[in-house]
Amino acid sequence: MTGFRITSSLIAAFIFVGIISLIRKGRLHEKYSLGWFLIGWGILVFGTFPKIVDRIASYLGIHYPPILLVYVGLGLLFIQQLYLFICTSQNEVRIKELAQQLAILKKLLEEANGEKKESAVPATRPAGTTSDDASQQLCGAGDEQTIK
Amino acid sequence: MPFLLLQVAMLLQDCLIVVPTYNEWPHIVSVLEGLTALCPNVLVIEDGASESALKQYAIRNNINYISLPFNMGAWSAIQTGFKYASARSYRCVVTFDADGQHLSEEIPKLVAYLDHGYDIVIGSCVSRAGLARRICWTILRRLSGLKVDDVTSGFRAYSRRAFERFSQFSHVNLEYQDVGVLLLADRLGLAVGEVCIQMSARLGGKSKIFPGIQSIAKYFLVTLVSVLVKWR
Repeated sequence: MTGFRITSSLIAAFIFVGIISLIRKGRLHEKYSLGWFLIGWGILVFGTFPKIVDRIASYLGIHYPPILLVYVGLGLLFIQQLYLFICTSQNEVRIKELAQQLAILKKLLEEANGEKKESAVPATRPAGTTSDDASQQLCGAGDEQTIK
Repeated sequence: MPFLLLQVAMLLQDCLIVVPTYNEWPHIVSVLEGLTALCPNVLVIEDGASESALKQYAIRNNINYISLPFNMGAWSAIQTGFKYASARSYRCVVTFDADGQHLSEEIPKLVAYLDHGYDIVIGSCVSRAGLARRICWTILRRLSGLKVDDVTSGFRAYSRRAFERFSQFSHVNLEYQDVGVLLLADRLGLAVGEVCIQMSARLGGKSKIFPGIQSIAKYFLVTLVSVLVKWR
């Protein structure tokens, strides 16, 4: 039993130190650091004192205590996975938005340069708009983030 | 006849024709020739693949050309067109396929319909559909409650109100340009109309969205999910 406790506390300590050093080096973004810090502490406490798990399991009426950890772990992983998918979708929207703006600004810049070179107005633009107007409007285009 | 041509020219004067393209060279040339003969403002949006031949062609023929830095899908390309149209204060936008399926002479019909109080006018051609497509359409139409015959047509005219709303940030992540857009239009309270038009056979062989049965199945299931979650 003591051998098991030493192994589990060593693994827990290793994970805890790993998480702390990732936060210290700034490899984990500040906004995620709190969650991972708490997870690190949880692993350390449950790894060093495995009896706590047995105690909680008996309070909850679970006959086989280790399954409690499996359930909690799976639950956390599921939530984390969902969160990551949300982040990825959000980032995809942002990257596409940036790429679109970049492509349009490039086009407007080319048009503005063309206007400078030759005073003739391109046939492809409705009267009354200049490149400056257009880029100003474009910059305001991404402000609204939700459907009203 | 000259009077009619003048009318068409007036109608299309402040209207931008957006042609999203991805690896459509060289058959896009005949499509663009047809378009530029009728419409003064054509915008080609190259979705990812940088075809310098197309760019050179666009510059030579005074066609607006935008190249996206990576492949983003047809809807994102169209949305880039919407944003450009907003920046340049166009009155309406017509989306036009680069594969030669759509006929440029049908554009005035769509644009004229926008003046009847519609925000989106779909150029619909029900006769082009085979049995499988008809079944898909019927299921999607029944489930979504959309009152549109041709839900997958990419030949559409958008009013300024419509394309400005579609330019917004949160609407960018649609995978396909058809049913999802119509559902969004429904949510935004945009009026959708439909005009019967002629279409011709594709020039470039197979459809980009539906090259095989796998992608049709994927399209159908993805669209089905978006229809189901937005079901009222």
